[in-house]
Amino acid sequence: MGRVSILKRVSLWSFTILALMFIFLPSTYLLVISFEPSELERIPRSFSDFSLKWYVQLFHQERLPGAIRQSVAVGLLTAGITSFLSLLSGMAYRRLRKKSYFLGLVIFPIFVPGIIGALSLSVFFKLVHIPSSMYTVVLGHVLYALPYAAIVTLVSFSGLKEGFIEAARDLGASGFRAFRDIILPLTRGGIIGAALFGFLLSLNEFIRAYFLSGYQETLSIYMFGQMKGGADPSIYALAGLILSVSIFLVLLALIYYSFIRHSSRSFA
Amino acid sequence: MKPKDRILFLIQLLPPALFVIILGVLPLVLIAIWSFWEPTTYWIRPQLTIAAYEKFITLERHVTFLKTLRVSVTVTFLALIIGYPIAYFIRKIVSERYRNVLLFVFIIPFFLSYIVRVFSLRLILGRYGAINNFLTWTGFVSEPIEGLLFCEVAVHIGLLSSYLPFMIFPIVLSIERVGESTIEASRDLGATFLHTLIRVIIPLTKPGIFAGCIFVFVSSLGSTVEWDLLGGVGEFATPQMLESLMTALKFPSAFAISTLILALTMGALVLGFKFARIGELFETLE
Repeated sequence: MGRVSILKRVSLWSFTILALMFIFLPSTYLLVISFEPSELERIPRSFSDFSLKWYVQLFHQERLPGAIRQSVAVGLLTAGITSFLSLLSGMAYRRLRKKSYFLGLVIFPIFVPGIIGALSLSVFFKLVHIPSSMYTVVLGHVLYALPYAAIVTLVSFSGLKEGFIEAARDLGASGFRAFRDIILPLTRGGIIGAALFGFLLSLNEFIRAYFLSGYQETLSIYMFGQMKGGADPSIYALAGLILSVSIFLVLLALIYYSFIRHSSRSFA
Repeated sequence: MKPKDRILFLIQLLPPALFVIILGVLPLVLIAIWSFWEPTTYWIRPQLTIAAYEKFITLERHVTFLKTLRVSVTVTFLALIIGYPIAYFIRKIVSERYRNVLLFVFIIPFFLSYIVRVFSLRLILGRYGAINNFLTWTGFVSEPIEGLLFCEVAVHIGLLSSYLPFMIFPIVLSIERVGESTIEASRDLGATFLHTLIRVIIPLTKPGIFAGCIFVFVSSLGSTVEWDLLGGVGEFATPQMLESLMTALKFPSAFAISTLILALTMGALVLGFKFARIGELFETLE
């Protein structure tokens, strides 16, 4: 590392920071603009101009509460099913002989373009006479989140040494006991991570929800409609709100993971 | 395995495997088959025909298809030349503490609403957007520039900002597998940095490069939001075409286009696994 010249270091740092600005500045700018009380797309002129006017306006939007409820319900269901399936994947994976086939299958949906996945699933549901509803959206979202969630879970399972389980079994623990007292605590981080992936990916997903949902729209669909329709600046408030919620959850996860990393270090 | 263990094993294995096979693979196989069926008024019937593929050419749908393809390839290329140095920097140059911070920061956009992220670009590129505000404020231009938003350039920018992180992660993973000693050996034998990069590092990180390119390419190919929110009036890409064909109940045509996209994607995947050994990226999990 010592051989890297200062010039190269500085230029690579600047390049990376520029890329990060490219990724994050637009959303940040939107967040700031959502506090501007006038109808203009601009940064509030002074600190005292920051206003929650457009956020308050959100309470008057008739279709919003239903969309929020729907998104939260879909997100929670997706989180639960995704983390359960990931846990099963992790358990099965330990004992599989041809691991790469299973891994390939589980992460396959990553490589299917979103619109194709959405379209084919909606047609499939029509064929087997499953009407569009909250549950069809949940199934689509689990399929979307499972590859990422399974990878996170498998990473946490890869830290689980077979010896721990054998030791527990030798000491007379039943299979279930070994699962509850050894496997679950050691892979907890991955399983919770899987649930988080499920919830956040579902909350922010648009195209699958668009193709698969029934009468009741999700938050993303509602928001997309407002964006296309050229709504008043309360759309910035709504967008800002959903950004803030996501960032809050990600930070919460960060705190949790740094906490379990500290507590597990003493163990391993 | 004892019979009881075997049953337990199947109870663990089958739910996730069947879930993906039934909902993630089977529907794709079905639409590929159905693209060769004949349309009826509301659905299709099992009568083999390639009419849907003929219409693809005769109704000039391939023009839109090729345009989408061109944009996706350009975005993939841009993401690669921007993402590679960043991945190299994160994995080989930055100290461990900053490395974790940077990796975390690059993961965040994945958890944020992509429609909000794309929409926010409007505030940057628009007539009264940040860039025009800045340019008029500094006096570079007297009138706001019009051509930044609602055009193909804006679509490129949107796709790039959505998918750049997807390029960085697989490359970081594959650079991780290039040992420090390999790079040092090349240097000790007198190679310049550029030489080491081209002859040693890039060939060894081929799996990551391929995986990243496939990620970005596939995602760009299937993106609706960037075209919808940033493209010009009537700016039409394959995803919009699919949507409108589905609404018009022209199922075989929609399925045919989907099948072509799928064939491209699967072709890229097979190439990736065969020639670039993408599978190596996941070896740490085995």
